[in-house]
Amino acid sequence: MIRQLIYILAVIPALIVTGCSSTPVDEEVNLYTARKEHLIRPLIDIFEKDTGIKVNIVSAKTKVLIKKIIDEGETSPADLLITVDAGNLHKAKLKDITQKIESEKLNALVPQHLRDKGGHWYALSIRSRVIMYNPETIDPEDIKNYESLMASSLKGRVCIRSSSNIYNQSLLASLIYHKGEKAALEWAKGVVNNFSRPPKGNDRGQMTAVVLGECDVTLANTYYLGKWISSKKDTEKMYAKKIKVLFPNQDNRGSHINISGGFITKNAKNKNNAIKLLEFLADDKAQEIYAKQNHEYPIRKNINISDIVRSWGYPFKMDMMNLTNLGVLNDDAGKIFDIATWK
Amino acid sequence: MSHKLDTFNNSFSFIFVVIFLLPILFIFINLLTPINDVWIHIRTYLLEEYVINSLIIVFFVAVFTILIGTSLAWIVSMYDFPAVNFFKWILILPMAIPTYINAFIYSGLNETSGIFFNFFEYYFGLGPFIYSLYNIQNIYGVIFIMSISLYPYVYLLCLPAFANHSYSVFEVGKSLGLNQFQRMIKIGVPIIRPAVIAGVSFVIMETLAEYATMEYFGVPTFATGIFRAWFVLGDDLSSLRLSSILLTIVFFLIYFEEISRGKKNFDNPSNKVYDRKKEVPKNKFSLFFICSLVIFFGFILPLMQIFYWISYSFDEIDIIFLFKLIASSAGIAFISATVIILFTLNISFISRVTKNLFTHISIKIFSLGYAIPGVVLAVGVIAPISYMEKSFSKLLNYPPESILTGTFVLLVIAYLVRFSTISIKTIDSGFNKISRNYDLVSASFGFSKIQTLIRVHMPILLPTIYSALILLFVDIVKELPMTLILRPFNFTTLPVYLYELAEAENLSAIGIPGLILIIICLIPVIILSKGIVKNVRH
Repeated sequence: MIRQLIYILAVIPALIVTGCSSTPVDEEVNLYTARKEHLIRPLIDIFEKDTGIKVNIVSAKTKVLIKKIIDEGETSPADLLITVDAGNLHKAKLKDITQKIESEKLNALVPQHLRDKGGHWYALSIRSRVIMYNPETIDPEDIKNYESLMASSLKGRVCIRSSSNIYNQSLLASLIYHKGEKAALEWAKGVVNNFSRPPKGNDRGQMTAVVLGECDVTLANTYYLGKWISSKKDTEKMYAKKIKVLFPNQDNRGSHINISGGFITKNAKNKNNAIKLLEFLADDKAQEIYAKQNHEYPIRKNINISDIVRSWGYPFKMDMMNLTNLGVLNDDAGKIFDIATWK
Repeated sequence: MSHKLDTFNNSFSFIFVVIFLLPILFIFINLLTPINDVWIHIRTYLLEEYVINSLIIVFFVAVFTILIGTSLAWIVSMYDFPAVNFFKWILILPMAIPTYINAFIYSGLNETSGIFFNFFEYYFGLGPFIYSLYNIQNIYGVIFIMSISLYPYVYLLCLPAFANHSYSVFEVGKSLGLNQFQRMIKIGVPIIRPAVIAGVSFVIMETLAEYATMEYFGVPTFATGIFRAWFVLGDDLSSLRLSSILLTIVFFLIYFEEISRGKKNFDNPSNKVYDRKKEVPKNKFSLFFICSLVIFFGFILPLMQIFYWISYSFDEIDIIFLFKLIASSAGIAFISATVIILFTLNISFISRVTKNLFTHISIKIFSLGYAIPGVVLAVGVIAPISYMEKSFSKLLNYPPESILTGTFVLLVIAYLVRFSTISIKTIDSGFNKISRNYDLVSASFGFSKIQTLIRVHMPILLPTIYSALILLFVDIVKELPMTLILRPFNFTTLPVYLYELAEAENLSAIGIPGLILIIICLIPVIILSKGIVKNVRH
């Protein structure tokens, strides 16, 4: 009986320890990702097969992962982090958890305005934040620019998600960059004035509200509509037909774009493998799959995109500002939202 | 040999106790640090909202769970009406639906994949009207969700309290001329007071600790504030300061519960429960209706929505992925539950056989664990462990490496601290029922203490251990915030997956994994409730 107890006492911690270290692999890389696992899994599978490098994944919200890397400090198991939004990537750099990546290949693959000036982070895909509207009630000529959303003719007809959302923060940062703080504040106030309801739900929720007539115009990232069109669900397919995409500011600076991207952590133990993974994700093969599957835009124009995304118009004029500025101006954007009482 | 084993055993538990105390000490020690800007920001702009929201929610959830729980227990114990025995049992079942799943479900009802939306759209073409008719994601919604999910804890504890009293108490009341209402107030209330207090303090702790529902509904409370301070504002000290305020409140609550329970004993002295003739109410159907209403909102409606979602997303099911999810959820829950059982069994035993003040005090402290919200604990575990790892690497002069960080050990430690309470209460009461004469006899045979534990106590305790294991398993399997923050690489559990789906507002995909989690939680609830209902019937 004693032997049994000792056995139990010994075996259980042993099980736990073996459970966590799993089977030792020669080559591995530890990935923290704020993108949902099922979005990147197909690519990771190809990478593992091609290189023999095992990718260990933990997913959570960007802020949680960044704070974890800070808390874990030198002992952090994370080698690289993949997330969305240049603002997030820039903030991570400011928190001193990134390092400069020395890779000729990455520099060749990722256009200059889509990467950190100091080489700390690189874009892996592009999305555009566009105007979506109800074609039965709205004349597209009236909403040609982001600035149109503050027009008094749209009073009570606009719904946009909360300002705590980083996509909105980055859009406002781009307005600050191009037109200055004063104009940005005026815009935010004007849009709030046109809200049909207090901000609630995500981009998909706003699109639903347009379809169901709760409002007529919204801002949303392009891929959400792609998901609806390609959905297996009848309602979503039907809804997709009732809403239209408009790329704003085509006659001037171009539509606001943002990225998903990645960086290598300051204390990465598998730095070379992490660079290999980033290079793989930026290369043609992955770019095509990644962009097609998620209905995003690839980082280079020579890559094929999904037919659905092409049908909205491609190539369109993109805002070419260096995306580092979205991060630099993020705090200012937050303050302006607060002053404009955009919840 | 055996003495060595005893010493080993003692030091073994000592280490466990230290591990246990570490996060709690860590949280409080930060109170001594000077105030910084972030804390001033929180105190000026946010603290009031956290305190007021938390208090409002706790107050109303407490009131509603008491109202629903006690009146249902009263109705099914005292009256005879159609399907009363069925209700007695089924009214416990809402326990099996984790609060955050109810939050997702109720938010989804008038969304485009919801049954309300589609029912009105299909028959009346009123879908868009229903869509913009109401929004449950606010403080009232939180109160509703918490009350409908947690009332069974009060109900469950009141049921035996009412039943274990011979009906004669009420007969006497009747003969003394008390009317129905007076009987309930003057006899019923005092009888169930200890049960209500125990049940409601559990409800309050659960409410204060609830993270996912509050976060999903966008209602800032202490639990979300602690999370926000740590992860969004990036200020550990402020987060820990909030945690220590919350913990202090909770500790007072526990203290209040202990003194208010006092030494009062309303147990049936003869322990005889007479065959009772239940009253037939004047309006049978109103009682039937009340019970049906509660069970409809607590259990049937949520399940209907889950099945509706399943019909939506049936062709998207990935069997292998689901199986992995179930295996990892059940696996970690089973291993952790076993570790906790061994640990608490040991502590309970040591406190029985020794006059060691240390273990006695630690038992008291263990019963606080459940009161510490998961978010607080996760925070209290990460920081000291990574600090220790760094110190070790400096001390032994090797490059810093994660030894425990990012492993299952961290998660198991967090579960241990939070859930030991459940096990220690159950096992301690089990031990108390074993006569000390057994220990003496065993000693006279020359058995060491640990041999006594294994050969004498264990066999007697087995049923107790079994039920503690079930309780632990269910609580761990549905745990969310700690798992979310502390889980290692390549490891996802059902709650984490559900949370991610809800966050992406992909509600219709919740169907299958949600149903699986509910079924896993349902099995032990049914086993337990059958036991309780059966005892009550005797």
